[in-house]
Amino acid sequence: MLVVKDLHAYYGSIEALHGVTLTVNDKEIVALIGSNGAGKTTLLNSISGHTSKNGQILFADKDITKMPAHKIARCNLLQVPEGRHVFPGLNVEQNLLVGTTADKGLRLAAGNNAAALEMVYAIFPRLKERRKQLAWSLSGGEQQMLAIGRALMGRPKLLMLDEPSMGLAPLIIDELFEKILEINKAGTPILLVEQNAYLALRISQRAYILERGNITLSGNSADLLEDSRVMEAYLGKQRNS
Amino acid sequence: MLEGIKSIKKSFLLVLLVITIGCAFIPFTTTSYMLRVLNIAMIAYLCVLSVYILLGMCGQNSFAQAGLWGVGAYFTANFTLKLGFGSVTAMLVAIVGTALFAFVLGFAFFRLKQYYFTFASIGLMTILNGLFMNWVPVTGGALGISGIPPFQIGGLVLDSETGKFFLIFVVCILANILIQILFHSPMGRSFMAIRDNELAASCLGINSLLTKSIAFALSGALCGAAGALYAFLSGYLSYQTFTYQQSTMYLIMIMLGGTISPVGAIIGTLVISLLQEWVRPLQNYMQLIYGVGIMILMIVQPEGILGGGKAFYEKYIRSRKRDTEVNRR
Repeated sequence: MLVVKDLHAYYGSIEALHGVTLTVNDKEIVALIGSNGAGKTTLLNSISGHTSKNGQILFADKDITKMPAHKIARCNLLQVPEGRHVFPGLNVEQNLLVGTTADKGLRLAAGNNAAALEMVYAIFPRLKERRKQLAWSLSGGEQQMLAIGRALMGRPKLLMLDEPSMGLAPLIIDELFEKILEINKAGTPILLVEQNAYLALRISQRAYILERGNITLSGNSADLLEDSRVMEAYLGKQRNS
Repeated sequence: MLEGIKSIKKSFLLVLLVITIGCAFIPFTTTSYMLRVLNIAMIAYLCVLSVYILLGMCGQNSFAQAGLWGVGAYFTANFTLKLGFGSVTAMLVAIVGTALFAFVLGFAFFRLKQYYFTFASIGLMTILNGLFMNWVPVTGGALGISGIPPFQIGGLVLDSETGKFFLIFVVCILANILIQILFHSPMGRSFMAIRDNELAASCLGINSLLTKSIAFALSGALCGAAGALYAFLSGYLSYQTFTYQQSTMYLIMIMLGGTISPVGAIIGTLVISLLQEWVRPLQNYMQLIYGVGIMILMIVQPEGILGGGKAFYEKYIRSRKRDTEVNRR
């Protein structure tokens, strides 16, 4: 589905990613783990066209390296940016409807979006209850659900989630991750960036570990959960002796 | 388009109908001087609506609206006087021409991010005003253009103040309906998405450069229509009308009324236009009053009269709800 080859990303003259290679296959959840400043968000932003970069990015066998951000989204490769970014002045339903732009493009006639809305409301019933409420008045967890639901309206072929658990209460995080699994089971592959390594490794099939702009470790999530290096650095566990 | 029409709420149409019927009687109950004031206010209203599209919906602040208004007016003057086209054609040319003009400039300007567009628009306003003053063959230079024929369609010549009132009024109503359609369309939602969060909008596949340029073009179309109507109304154009101060005035009007809906534009335009008439003896102090007034408004009620009214109403509803709940217990 997504193939990233030798990706270098830059902020001005500073190189933030030093040749990252990564793949996401059909139907899987791939986790991207790393500490603060490792370049996780930069990697997602590079894939979605928000940084200057070198290298090659193939999505569904199409080269999207040089495309501007909105065209990449129009290929149904959708990113839910870090920190939610809902449209505060629009209500929940309008927020969701904006999401259809990725699939249908800029247009004057709305077309029929009832099915897509129902699909999102089925996953997030809480959004249906609040459909006429302005987005700024939602709680953090609801805003995250809205941001994910809005991306789903664009019928993603690959969904990139950036720190969905950020700033949420543990109970809400559990609920949210169940929903993420549900979305994945319905057939959407997911590239998940997460600081909460334990959670991310539990729900993903494969994982990459990013350190200072390089991928230092990758493999099956189940194996990484047992890996002593990962345990020490990211799971906060001492080596069992 | 059809869906857009369907999406208009019945309540909106009802309010529109009531206002239309109410306003239809205005010309017969007031002096022709007052009618001229109202006509000019309605033309200003069209320009304020154009600010609503650009600032209220799309979040882009422009100081060039009076310049676009002038472009529409000079288009009309040249097409009727010098090229001998009919009124309707000239007006359509003014609308489409100004929209295209704005679109092309928007496509260049919106490469600038955030408030840099505002600076560019100030430059545009200055250039346009200089052009109006100096491009003698087209704008008549400092002397202006006079003798623009009044609007006529078929055999009907609208040269009375009342006739002009109805013409402008109809255009205002049409503009309102179009804005309502736009508001409920995916296009309008894209505008608002850009206003609220440009990064998230681009993550959802919205081409912000194109979308903003379209918003600028639509606001140009409204200004073009306003310019054409002004040419028909006054019959004389002078570069002194289409100034930077006028652009600022539109912004003041929408700030005063509130940027959240076209109703804010109506309130703001009416208050300022009528205020200018009522306090005419204080004319020399008008700029001072505006200045101080705007400062006070931004501190006390940053969302304008409409925003303040809405907040007050919601507070009232909530307190009533609370009271009834208390009573039930």
